[in-house]
Amino acid sequence: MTKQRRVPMVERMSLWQRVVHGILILAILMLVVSGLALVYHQHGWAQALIAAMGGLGGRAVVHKAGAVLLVLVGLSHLLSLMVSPRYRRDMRESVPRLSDLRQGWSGVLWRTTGKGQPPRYGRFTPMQKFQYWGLLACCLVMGASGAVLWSPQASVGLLSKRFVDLMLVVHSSQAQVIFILFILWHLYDIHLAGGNFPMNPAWLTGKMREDLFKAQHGAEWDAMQKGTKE
Amino acid sequence: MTGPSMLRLRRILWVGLVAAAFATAAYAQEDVRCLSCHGKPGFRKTLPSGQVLELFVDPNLLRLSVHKDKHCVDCHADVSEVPHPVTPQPVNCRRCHYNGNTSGAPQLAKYLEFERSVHGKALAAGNPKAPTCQDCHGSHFILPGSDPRSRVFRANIPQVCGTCHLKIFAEYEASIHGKALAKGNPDAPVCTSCHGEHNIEKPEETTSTVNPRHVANTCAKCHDKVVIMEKYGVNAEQVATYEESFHGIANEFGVLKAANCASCHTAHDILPPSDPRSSVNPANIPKTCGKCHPGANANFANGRIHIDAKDKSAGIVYWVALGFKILTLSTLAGLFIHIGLDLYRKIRNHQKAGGAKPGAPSSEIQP
Repeated sequence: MTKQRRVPMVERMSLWQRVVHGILILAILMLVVSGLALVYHQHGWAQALIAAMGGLGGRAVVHKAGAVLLVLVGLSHLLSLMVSPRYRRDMRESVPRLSDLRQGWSGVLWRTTGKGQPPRYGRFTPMQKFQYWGLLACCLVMGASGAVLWSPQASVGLLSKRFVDLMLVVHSSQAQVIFILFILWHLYDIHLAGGNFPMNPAWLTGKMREDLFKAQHGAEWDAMQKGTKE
Repeated sequence: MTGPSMLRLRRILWVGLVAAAFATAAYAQEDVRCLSCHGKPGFRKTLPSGQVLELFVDPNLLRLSVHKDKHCVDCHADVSEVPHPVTPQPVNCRRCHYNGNTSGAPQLAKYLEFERSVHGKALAAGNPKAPTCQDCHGSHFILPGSDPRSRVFRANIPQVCGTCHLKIFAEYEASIHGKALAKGNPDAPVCTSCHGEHNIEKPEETTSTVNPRHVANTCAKCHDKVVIMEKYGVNAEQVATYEESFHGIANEFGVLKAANCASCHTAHDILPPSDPRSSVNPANIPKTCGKCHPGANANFANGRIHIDAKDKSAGIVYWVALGFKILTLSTLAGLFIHIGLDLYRKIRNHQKAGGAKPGAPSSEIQP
């Protein structure tokens, strides 16, 4: 136990960030479970899930509650950006740059050829930046199409059957992309890959192992050592 | 065999033969007695209610029917005296038509199905309008269903049902199914194709073939069969697209107020969408949708109702779905490539380190 405690850790997420991240997980789980159950309604597992949610009506309530929760997470994120310098610093760090492409490519080269040094990423790796902005874009698409599908009857009358059909395809197809890109890939990238197995505890404790941090965010570590960053 | 015993056997055989001949003659005698009145054309009786009961029986027709070997009293078993001291009861077909009979009737238990049917229940409840076997099959001129002269021959069924169900018969006759039948189309559904035969139940019964739970399955008996539908240029995907629609999914999960095939296409007067009188003609779609969705407007008709995102006929929906399919597969491929590259580097680093310490941090930690 004492040995484990001595493992040096680096802070990665604030308490508030962890709380919001937890609510985001809950919202996405509610949406994914109730959404995929509808898309795969002909399968036994989906039917069992729908039954567990209290039938089709209950499923819709869970899905819509998840959507409201996700919107609230988005609004809290905006609010945090307005009031918190830490959020604004992280936002600046997450802006995609041309160097991300170069670093991403050198990461691929290093893995395939083993030549040179592994890339030294900043506070956010190119993959993390891609996932942050990608998820944001996807959520906007899901929000817009979801708003149309909130009441299909009203939407058909207001827009058209064709448009609602289009939104249905966009919504259900995009959901599958989100599932792969932001759930499976994020779980692999953050919790399984790069020695993080079985998981990166930052989402619970806010801290990650220093040796992993050095390897995965080398440039950020250097900057912290120089004292240019906290 | 010895002489005297041979003689005894011959005697027995002769006695038997003569007795059989007498018995047959007696039966024939019975028929002759019956026909002495019932064989006269125009033999009828006016009931106190004013109703005229036709009592003439054409013996030639009976001899052409499936019951050609039967005699009057085989069925009219309660008649033994002429004139009849009490009014003979209607014939009970169940005397012979049951599973396990020895009279040569088909070994079927249709009457059990009939008892559970809407008609059988009405009959048991004493409803005077309830049909009996004879109302559909006829009485003296019963023919197998495969005989075009039979009342229950496929093409004759709507007329038989129409004897009581007049309004529905008129609707059916004008429908695409009724017209197809009139042209001699063997694929055209008749009443029994959807409702069943002896086992017809009220639509409210959960086991009825036309209960909202089962309507789609009943229509699917023909409408999801490519071999049948392609003959008429009808899309065989209509059932599948319904099952994937809001309505179909709701129906599948027991929301029976959700539309089924008949809600939009109607049950009996089904017409093709090209017919201006059709409930699914584009001009009539707002009205049809409006039955459940008050205030439905022309936007309800703007787009395909039975849309199949996997088919080019879906237009932009098809292309968007295809684009997303490619995107989803690319994303999945990207994830696998990422994992593959990581594993490859991990294995190579491990090999470089001599493989002495599997799981050493140097080979595990990767950016």
